Amino acid sequence: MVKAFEAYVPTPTAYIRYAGVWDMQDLYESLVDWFRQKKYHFHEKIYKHKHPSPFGIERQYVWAAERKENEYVKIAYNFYMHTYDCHDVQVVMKDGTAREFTKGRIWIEVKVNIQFDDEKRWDEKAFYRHLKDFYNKYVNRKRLMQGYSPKFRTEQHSVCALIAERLKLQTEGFEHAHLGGVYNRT
Amino acid sequence: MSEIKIIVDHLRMDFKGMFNANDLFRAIDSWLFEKGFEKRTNKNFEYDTASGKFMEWESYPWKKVTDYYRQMMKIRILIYDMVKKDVVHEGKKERLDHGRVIIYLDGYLELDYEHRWDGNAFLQAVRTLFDKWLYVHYTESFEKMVTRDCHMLNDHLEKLLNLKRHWRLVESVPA
Repeated sequence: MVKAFEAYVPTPTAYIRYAGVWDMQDLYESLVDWFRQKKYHFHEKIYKHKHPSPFGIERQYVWAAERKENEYVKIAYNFYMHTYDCHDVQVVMKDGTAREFTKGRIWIEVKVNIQFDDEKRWDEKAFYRHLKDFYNKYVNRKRLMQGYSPKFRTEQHSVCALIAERLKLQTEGFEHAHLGGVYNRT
Repeated sequence: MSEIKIIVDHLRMDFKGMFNANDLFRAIDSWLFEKGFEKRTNKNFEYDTASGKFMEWESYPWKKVTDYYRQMMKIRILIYDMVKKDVVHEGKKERLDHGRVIIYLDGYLELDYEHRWDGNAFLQAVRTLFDKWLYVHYTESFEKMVTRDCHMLNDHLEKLLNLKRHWRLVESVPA
């Protein structure tokens, strides 16, 4: 089985951890909306609500989002969110309206990977597999390194910037947000 | 395995006082963008504690210099007890942050990042031969680039935080 270059990780997993008050509904909707706008197929694989402890509620979310870039390339996002010690708090906004926010801790992992030949069309025979390996290593390599990789690396940074913005982290702001279309070349 | 050389080891900056946290992160981000570094933020932690916010931010930006050498940096920022304070700046009221900031900068040079010369022992020996004797001037010049970039970023952050600075040429410092 030829495994080299079958999947590629353009950038390592990004970790975000926050303790404080945030709007979970807004975070949830913003992320789902972001994926929908980018034409990803979004799946909520796991939504786990654990039995509340004296410290608060614990919830787990596992999301997956996929998009076919073309017949051969698929982009897959894996999201893991875990909230600890959460309780709902009433917050009065500047305009006097009351809203319900969440107080507690949150841990987020964002992973992206690029999968080649996910339909396994080139896996039937050993010869085909070697052909695929050759294509991935030598023919498609430049397109991967200079096209897909920077594009989806930047895309992962932008989703992390969105999370930072929704959680109102001090690190919010994304310098690469208004980058020209060079990374869209694939 | 590619070879990773540690060029700048834990360049440390310790600061306590008024600053703008968002400006600090934006300044680093824009500096990296201007210098052609690719971003790779691994940790972005923020906690509300009783004495103020605690933050840990870690990033490993990198830049391909050639198809053999890759420059890498590690930026680690720790912020303790950060609270918001009102200040008057040029007659205007502003809201800034106050706390303790510790910044660590490390600089690395990665050789043969595409792993083209580590297939077998012979290739690795050839690689070492080239790195240490034949292309030693190239390796040294790229090491200087890493040192220069780390010190430039350090100087940029010192300017931003308004620290007392002293400039010295890195090349003239005895080993």
